[in-house]
Amino acid sequence: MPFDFSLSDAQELLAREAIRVIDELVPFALARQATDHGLERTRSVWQQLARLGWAGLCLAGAGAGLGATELMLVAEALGRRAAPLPFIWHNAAGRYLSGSPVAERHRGIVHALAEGTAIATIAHWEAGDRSDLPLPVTQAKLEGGRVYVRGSKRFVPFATLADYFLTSVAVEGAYGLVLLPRETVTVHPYPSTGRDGRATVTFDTCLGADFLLGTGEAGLIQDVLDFARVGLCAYATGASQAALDMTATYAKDRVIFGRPLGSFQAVQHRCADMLFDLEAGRVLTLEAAWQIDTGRPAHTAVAAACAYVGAGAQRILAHAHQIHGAIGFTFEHDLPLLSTAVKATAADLGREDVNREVVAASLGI
Amino acid sequence: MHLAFDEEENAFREEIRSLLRKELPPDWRGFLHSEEGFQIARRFCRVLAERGWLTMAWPRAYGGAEASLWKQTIFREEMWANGEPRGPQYMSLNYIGPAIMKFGSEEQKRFFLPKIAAGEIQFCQGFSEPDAGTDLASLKTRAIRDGEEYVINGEKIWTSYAQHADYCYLLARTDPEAPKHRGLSLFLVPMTTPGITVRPIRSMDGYTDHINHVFFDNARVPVTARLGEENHGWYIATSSLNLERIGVARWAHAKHLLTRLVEIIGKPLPDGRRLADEPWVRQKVADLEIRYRAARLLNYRVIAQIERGEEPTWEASLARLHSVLLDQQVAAVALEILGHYGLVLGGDEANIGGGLFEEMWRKSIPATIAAGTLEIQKNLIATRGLGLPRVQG
Repeated sequence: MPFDFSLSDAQELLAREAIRVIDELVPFALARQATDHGLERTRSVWQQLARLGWAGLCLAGAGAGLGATELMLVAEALGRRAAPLPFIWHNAAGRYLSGSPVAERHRGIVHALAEGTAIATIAHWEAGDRSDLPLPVTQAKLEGGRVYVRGSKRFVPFATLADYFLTSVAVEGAYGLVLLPRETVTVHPYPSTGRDGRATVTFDTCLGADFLLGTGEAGLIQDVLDFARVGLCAYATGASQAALDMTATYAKDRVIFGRPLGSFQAVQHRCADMLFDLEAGRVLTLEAAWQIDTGRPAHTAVAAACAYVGAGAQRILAHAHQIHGAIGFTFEHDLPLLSTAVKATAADLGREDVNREVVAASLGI
Repeated sequence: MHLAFDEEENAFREEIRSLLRKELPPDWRGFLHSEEGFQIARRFCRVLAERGWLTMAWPRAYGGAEASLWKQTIFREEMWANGEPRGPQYMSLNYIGPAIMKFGSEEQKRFFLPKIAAGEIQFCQGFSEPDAGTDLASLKTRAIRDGEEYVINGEKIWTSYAQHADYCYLLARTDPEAPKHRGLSLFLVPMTTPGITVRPIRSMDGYTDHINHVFFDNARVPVTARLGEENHGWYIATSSLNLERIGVARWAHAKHLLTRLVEIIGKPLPDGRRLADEPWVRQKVADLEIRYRAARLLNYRVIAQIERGEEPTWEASLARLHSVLLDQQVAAVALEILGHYGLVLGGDEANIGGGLFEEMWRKSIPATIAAGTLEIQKNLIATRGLGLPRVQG
């Protein structure tokens, strides 16, 4: 069958398991607590997920070595609870480290990441919040078997928890990725919409040359970000799905003028529009994951998914708020957790115009 | 999971494309509602029939090739991308023929199926009436039994192809006392039947005979013209709708137009400016491409469901919604990008695209009206896909 959208048995099992486990271990309360208390309380939940093998899901060697499709399945389940957990960034960073030419030299770190005793994240954005990929301002210099790294990264997710920062740098005019252990950086946390431990991370340090994990063209960094972005699309899709489920249930139960709210055509059409965007984003994400997993050039598909999901998920959440009315605006309600998670994730997916430009270029114009 | 065509399938697509290049006029833009258009369509259908492609989707017992759903999909994509050169024949192939196979008498099968398979006859569809469009089941055209005949009285409207068709796939009321969905029957009515008058309605796509008003004034047909049992017409008419929703590969038509647009904006305008260099143009075109990618995948997902033996409902409506909206957007956005250039309909050297997008914009307007309005599709998605209660009142 040329187009077969069904998951393998193992993937089906993972998807079902992810929803079951996350329903049990990751209540919305976890995200709500993070609003006021930060991420420290999420550590024990992360440990439990790590014991299921999800900290090492996409890591080679000590991990399960699975792909973007599996990342997507777990990320979607996490999105349904607006889970403030480092799963996506951690796996994207860990996958690169564990597959890098110097992975052997960092066996201990890979092991700790796969076990969940250490957390990794990605430090990429600089002052401009650009989602195209200029050469990083942050410089790394190789000298006498050491690598000197100096600079500052912004908007780093889960920085408050992370033990390792996979950091994009420029090395003699090329793109590079260095691994910065926590003790080599200073983390300046700030509260943010996504409750995801964002911080500006600054560093001026010198490490063994094997902490420069790789150098190359822009694609080196792009591939790492694209892998993470497939997970982020799935996370936003999960949050959108949960918002739609919540909204459909509310529309069925809430009675207005003596009939269910959801029997009004204006409400039905908003709900249909939500499903319209949800399913389009879902298949685009699936395509991007499949292209990565089969070793095809996936950048255009990832950009297409990001452009659609970034905007589509926000449309879905806006409809969800409108249909819920005032109750959806309360702190006690779960909907604001989803809409803020989607807002933050959309920023991670990159500006819509930048993603569209990638697609335009793919058309040969 | 697998999300790509293989070499053999791509080669099949190329084979269809080379046939299209060979058989269609060089300035071909799509089916024309005219005597000439019908001649081209009939000739083209016969060429397809000779290749065994016309009824590739049909069972072998009825002269078909039992081609895989994916081969059929590729074929439909190429037909729609190229303005459906089969004319109205897609209706006979996609659902009228299959309905005859499923519900027809042996005599009807022997008579109609080989003629459809050879590309010899064309149908029009007599469903909508002046007072029954979206609420189709409230239609009033009557077929009253009189011995071995039915006497048909009433009127149908918006009937495409009626002037040139040989038969009408007619839905009429046979039991006015029954609940509205249960009193309808389907008929295969020769358009030459005395008492049938076709009056063309000039439409905004430039044709004088695209859509028609069809009057039935004591038109008598034998009982054998009825398809299936009496009063089972609604079931027969709707039973093949899911395949019909994806059977029209509008996403491929949209992509065809988008490819033309990309070619045009890549060339300099008379003032030397290249539209493809303008960021806002690139943004708009990329957005269409992304929507195309989604529409195609969503339609393919429905086809994969059908292939697995599942019965998609809301999924088919959702996929269709993406396709029809995309088809409209491509034409509208192309005109927005081309501005005045896109509105020149001939005679001027600034005739960029030869009025193609203006024509397609006009033609795309009924995309969200015909065969189930956008609003009805959305209701269906909300009720069947999300379990919301039916719209009341």
